[in-house]
Amino acid sequence: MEDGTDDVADDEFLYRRVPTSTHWYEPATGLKPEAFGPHKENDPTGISVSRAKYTAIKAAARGRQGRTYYVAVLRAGDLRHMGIEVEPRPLPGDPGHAELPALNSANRKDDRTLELQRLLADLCTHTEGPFPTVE
Amino acid sequence: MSAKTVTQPVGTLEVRLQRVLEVWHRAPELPDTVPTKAAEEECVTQDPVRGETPHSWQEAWNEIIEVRLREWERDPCLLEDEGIEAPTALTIQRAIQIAQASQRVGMSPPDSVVPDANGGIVFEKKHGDIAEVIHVWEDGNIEYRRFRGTRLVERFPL
Repeated sequence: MEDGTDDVADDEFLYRRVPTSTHWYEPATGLKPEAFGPHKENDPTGISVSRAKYTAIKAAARGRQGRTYYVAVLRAGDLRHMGIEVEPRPLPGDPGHAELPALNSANRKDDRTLELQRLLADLCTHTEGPFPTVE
Repeated sequence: MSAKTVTQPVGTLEVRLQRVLEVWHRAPELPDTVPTKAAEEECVTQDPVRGETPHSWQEAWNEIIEVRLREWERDPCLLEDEGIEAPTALTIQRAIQIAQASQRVGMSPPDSVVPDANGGIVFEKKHGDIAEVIHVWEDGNIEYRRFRGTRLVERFPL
């Protein structure tokens, strides 16, 4: 039984939730690097992504009730090709949870992290949404 | 970021922005007085690449300050979201001061102003493969960064 502990394959797609409220994604101007910025406390082991293999895109977009979210889509192999590893980190009720360890709370202000954020925005294949979060 | 302590520069914001001015996409000279329409048509200067006038740059700065930043100041909850911390009133004030000082020294307006995930605010301007950023971090530090493509080529505190 696949429980999310299997290695992330290169041909897998990954989802990154982007709150509409932040303006990190605008259809006219694209995706901002800030969409991949680590939180100073919540990302100790890496920023979160969802594996499309386990997570429906609307589930990946789910956030705060009443808010809307875009979903940035990336391909795992594209990240690996640029030296960004993707680690499966399933959570209870969320087998598709994965992380990018190279971008984390401790290194969020490092030069390399800021570069990787910009790189990830470039590697995004496309963006879906916006999706509302409803009960 | 390196482990060594970064000393914050002193001086007014305008003084601190001088170093940025050397590289940031500059605004054309602004007239000393408000021109008449005829005078404007006769001698207005335009950015040859973007086709913008100094007055449209002023308008763009005004919109950033009076619409975007003031809106966040009035209702920071607009930016609170899952995993996102809204900027504090102090951070927004700093961003407004940066924007006002940048406008005064003749810097062209950024293409975007967005929050970061931790309560900071990021101004960004792109031209070709160059991206320039002024980042007001949530801890009070303010810095300039320049990227060529995805490579960080310059970074210094303001």
